Amino acid sequence: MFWFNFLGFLVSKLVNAAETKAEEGEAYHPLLPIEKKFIAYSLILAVILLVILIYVSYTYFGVAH
Amino acid sequence: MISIFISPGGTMSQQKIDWSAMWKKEDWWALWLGLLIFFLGLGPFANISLIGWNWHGNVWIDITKAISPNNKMYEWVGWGSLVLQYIFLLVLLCIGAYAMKYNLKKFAAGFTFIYWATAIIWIIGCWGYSAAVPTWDPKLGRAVPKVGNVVLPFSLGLTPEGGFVYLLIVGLIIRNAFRGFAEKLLDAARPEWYIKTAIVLLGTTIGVKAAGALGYAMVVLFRGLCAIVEAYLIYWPLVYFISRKYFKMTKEWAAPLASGISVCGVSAAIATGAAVKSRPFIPITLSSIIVAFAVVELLILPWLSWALYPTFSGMVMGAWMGLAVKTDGAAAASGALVDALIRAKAAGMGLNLESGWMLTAAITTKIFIDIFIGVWAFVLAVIWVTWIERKPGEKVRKLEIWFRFPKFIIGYFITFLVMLAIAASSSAAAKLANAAMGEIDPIRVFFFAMTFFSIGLVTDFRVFRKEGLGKVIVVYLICLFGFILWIGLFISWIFFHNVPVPLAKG
Repeated sequence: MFWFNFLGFLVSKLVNAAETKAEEGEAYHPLLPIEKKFIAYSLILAVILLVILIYVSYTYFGVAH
Repeated sequence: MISIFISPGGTMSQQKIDWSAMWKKEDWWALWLGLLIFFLGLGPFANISLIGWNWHGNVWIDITKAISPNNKMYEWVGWGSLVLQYIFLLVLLCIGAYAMKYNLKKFAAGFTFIYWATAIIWIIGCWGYSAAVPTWDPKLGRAVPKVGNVVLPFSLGLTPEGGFVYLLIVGLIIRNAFRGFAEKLLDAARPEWYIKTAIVLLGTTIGVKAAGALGYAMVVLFRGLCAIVEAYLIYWPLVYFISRKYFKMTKEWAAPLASGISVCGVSAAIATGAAVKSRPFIPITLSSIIVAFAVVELLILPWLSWALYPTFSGMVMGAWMGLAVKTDGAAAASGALVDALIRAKAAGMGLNLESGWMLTAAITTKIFIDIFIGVWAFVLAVIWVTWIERKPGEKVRKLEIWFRFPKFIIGYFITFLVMLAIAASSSAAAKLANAAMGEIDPIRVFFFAMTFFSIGLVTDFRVFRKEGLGKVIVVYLICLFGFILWIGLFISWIFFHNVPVPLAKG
């Protein structure tokens, strides 16, 4: 996560932070707690499922060819 | 297809199901055309050949031998098969174009150019000096490129599929250097329609091959499913987080952008935009960037895969294309290139890999991604309505999953399962299934070829200079090259590193 934070920080500094057309319309609000939760749960679920899917793949779907 | 995605008040009556989509949408027309060609191709089971007069390219030195009809009984047709196939495809596609209310004159004119340009470039790509793959010659004691018995002094070794690269490059040149002319072709430059039709037809080939390796096919299917579940759950939140936190994007931009960049391309950006109620121009704007980046990926990743082989196995590379390259067309096209490039490289190492399996890995992951677009859009809509936007009284219908489901995939599974059932039933039936595949598969390859050319024709690189999109493009670049490609490679490796590409029989 540090890597993503660092990368994001670095590039966002490099890129002109000026408002662009992309930001017209809906006003910007910082990440809501619910959004942070959603992001965190997705990643946690990904890790849990990774373990389960690797187990199922290697156990029940081993290479038969 | 539906009037709105989320019904205020949650009443079913406010949403109309428009069944005319079945004859008004490219998605459905890919299904109809694919199935029609598939059933026509089953002629050998009745001891007839209904479409065997279509053609395929041969690796050639003598130009007179550059093409052959798909069924030997039509050899007398010769080069006339080029004209017959042109008429055949023109009629079929014009019926679809008419039903979808395209400008028929412009479509027919554009298609005529696309067909003949594709055919000519494909034949050039089959030239021995480009396509012949070096194989081991025991007499010479080294690998040499050969066409028949003629030994060539050199060859690029690109296989006939190298024609895909030439088609893409020519298409890009036309689009970006001859804009006026390219605009006239846009009515017929339909990469998504062509590739979806090709994927329906691909089910035939995969079905026949899977019958001889059922366990293996199941492994590829299941592991492809695993790979995309992981990709969704990792890519999406990371892209969303970066675009929201560091690039200060609003939710209505960040959500469709995350879907578009992360795994699923244009259709996902549009579905997500609808799910989170972005303004309509947002997913459309993002789509143009996604398509342009997909071509950049298509130009880079297959060659990178080629360089990484055999450090990473062929199936890892194939699945990687499905996970990393956006849009169905570019992903399938990348898979086809990887299949050809890696087989050529393996041949030089004395390994004769069976064709089609790396492409299958790419298509399998891409198909599961497409299937999940509807599920993901549904999940996002529920999350947005229930927690993020908190709009009491709004409900999301489960039926939306069906509406968002890409229908051409039904065609893929029909052709796959029918051919699998037939080819697995007896050895006599398997022979007939092979004969049918021999008539259908070259048409599938031609649809692939038209996809490459069309991708080039619709890719306007000026989108990268469009004012105001700098931030979106930077996010795309950072996410794609910063982690999406490498996480995709890692996931592909986890699920496919111990799945070898089968060796060709004989």
